[in-house]
Amino acid sequence: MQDTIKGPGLRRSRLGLGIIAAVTLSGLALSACGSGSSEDASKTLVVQVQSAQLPAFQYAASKFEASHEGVKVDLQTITEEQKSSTNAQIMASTNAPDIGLVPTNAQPYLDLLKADALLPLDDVWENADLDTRYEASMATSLKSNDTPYVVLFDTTLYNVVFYNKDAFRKAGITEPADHQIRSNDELYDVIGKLKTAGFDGLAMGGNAGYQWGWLVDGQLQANASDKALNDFKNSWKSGQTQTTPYTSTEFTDSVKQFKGWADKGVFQEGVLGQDGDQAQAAFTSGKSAMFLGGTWIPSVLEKTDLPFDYGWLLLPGKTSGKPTVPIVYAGDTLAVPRTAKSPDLAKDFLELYVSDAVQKYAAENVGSLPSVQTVKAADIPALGEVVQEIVTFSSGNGTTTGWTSILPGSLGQSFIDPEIQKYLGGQVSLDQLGQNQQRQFENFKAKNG
Amino acid sequence: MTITANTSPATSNPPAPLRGAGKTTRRASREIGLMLAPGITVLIIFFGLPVIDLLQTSLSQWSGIGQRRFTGVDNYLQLLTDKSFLNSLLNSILLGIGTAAGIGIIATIMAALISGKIYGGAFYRIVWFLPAIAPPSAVAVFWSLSVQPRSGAVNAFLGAIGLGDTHAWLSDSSTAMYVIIAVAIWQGAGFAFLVILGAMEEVPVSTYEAASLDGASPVRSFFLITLPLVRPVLSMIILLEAIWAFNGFTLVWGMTQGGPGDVTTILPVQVYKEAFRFGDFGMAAAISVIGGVILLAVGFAGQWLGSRKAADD
Repeated sequence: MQDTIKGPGLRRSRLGLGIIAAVTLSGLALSACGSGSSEDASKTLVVQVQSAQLPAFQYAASKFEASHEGVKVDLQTITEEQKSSTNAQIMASTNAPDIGLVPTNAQPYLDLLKADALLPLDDVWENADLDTRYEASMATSLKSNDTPYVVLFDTTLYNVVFYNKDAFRKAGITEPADHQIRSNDELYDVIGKLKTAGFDGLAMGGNAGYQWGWLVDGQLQANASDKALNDFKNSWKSGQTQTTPYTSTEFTDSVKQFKGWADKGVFQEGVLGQDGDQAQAAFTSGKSAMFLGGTWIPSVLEKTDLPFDYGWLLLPGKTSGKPTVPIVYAGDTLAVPRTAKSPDLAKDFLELYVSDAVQKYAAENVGSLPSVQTVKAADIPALGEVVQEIVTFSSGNGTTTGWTSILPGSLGQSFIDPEIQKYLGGQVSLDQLGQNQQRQFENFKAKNG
Repeated sequence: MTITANTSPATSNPPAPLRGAGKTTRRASREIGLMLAPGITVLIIFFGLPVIDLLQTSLSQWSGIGQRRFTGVDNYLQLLTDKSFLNSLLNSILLGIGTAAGIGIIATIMAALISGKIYGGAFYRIVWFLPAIAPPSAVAVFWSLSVQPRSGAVNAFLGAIGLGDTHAWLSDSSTAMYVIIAVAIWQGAGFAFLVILGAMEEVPVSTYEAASLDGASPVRSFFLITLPLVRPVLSMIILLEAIWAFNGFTLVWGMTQGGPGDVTTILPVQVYKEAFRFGDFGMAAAISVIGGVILLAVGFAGQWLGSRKAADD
């Protein structure tokens, strides 16, 4: 009965509501469309950067803008985690930057190559003469099927331990000759004295997700045979056959070192629950007398107004008298996605960044080592005495590129780090760790050839 | 002349439908449909399509970019025998149940105290709710620093009362998950407390007065009157807290990233690692689907339990 007495006013209001609903729906659909004109996009070069390297990129950006009238360089900072994980999707999207950070030892690099999502950079390499200016083996490793898709913008040496000289003095420890602790017994002696003097031992980010991999790199270099080490570094590649399985003692002996160290209290208390920043804080506050890092650390420590003097040393291998050496990381690279809006400008920027002038500026202001041989670290006093010593030592003692610096993340760094945590936490045995690594390798080969 | 209204009851001959009533109903239905259309469209676009895409991805091998390769149920079969997945599932269940139970008990006690008019109730209402408004990432960072050996506030307190200051709570595989549960309870109890308090304050005062006249003590009244009457709200909040904890990525990632090893890895953390660290979106999707099905079952079970009649019906 009530329906029959609805007036025309009520019907009109319902119709009006329906029209409003339809308009709202259309508005929603239209608002989902992209914005911004393509003309604006072509005058802006979007470059990804990590905050630690910002000063160098800002310098390069100012030089680029001066030489390219009307072009603005937009530096977008991304985190360490982002560049090694979610950046693959960003680089392959229609909203990709013009230049992206693509570490060659992280999963995004492999995924982007397989999806053909990166532009070849043969022209950049030719214009910048990178085949000559990069060290030969480094240049080869940066190419995929002889084609370069990335440009290396810096290098670092890692697996170096910085120590508190004041703490060592107070503990009655003689500073290691030639910066090397030559045996496990010597290491345990140092740690014992430090603990007696009230200091924690080696501070490292046990939960950082990559620092156990650093130690593995150093141990493999010191302990594994050349044949086995070469196999570990290359057998993952397409077309290569494995000759030394990860279940062999060539691999597991290196990992076994850490259990012995952990049992003897070498690491700081609670190492498995701490990240890199917490480890660094333990060192700079004087609680831990030693800190695992690399050649970028002195530039960081300079900003913290350290209350003590520090030196550097290298940890022992499993065999007395054969200690580790600093390990090279040559995986910090830049790439141009196929979906970049300004690919030509991007290539020009890459050529600028690997120029001697910018490489020198980066070394002086960011603490990274140059990626090109035409700029020698020894010629950059601003790197500081400690870094110069590490570089000189490495040159004279046969440094090498790390295993986790070369392998894709899913097989190297991202996989081995939690496995070592499980091993040290008692969740898996050494044999199981080796089996797990071997299984991961076999799965990787099955998917990637 | 008098006009008499027909007040006789309805006869077996109902009035004939008025002309045009069907057309009016159809028009009304069209208008209702038109008004519901935007909402349903948004639901389809932002929920329905992604779910379908998720299911498709779970049946594929895909790195997140490029082409997908259909692999059928391979990902699911692999998960059935994958120890790390089973470990993550158990961790998720432990986190969900532990957090929900802890929040349920603590929030009920807090609500009972405020409802019982303790001194300073207005102050406690605010203070106890504060953790709920803190950003989860900030909570994770704060507590992960607080439980560090030697430098953390928790260990400093334990050291001050003679219990030692070197406990590596997050480094020890036997304690790491319980620390996370404790932090989740700390953060979640405030919101639950407010909801349960609201339900308690709806209980008629006369009910308590009658019980008091019959000789019931406050504690007996609480267990025999208050709890049964707030049970629907209590069970709803416990269910929600269990679901939120089960999906609690931020807290776990911020405190331990699933470590040490995989001792605190829950399903959302494993999904993240599979997708973005190992480049296996197919496996990540399969884990998401399984997690979603479990939560759906939990939700339906909770719905069924909650729909049972309360004590006062």
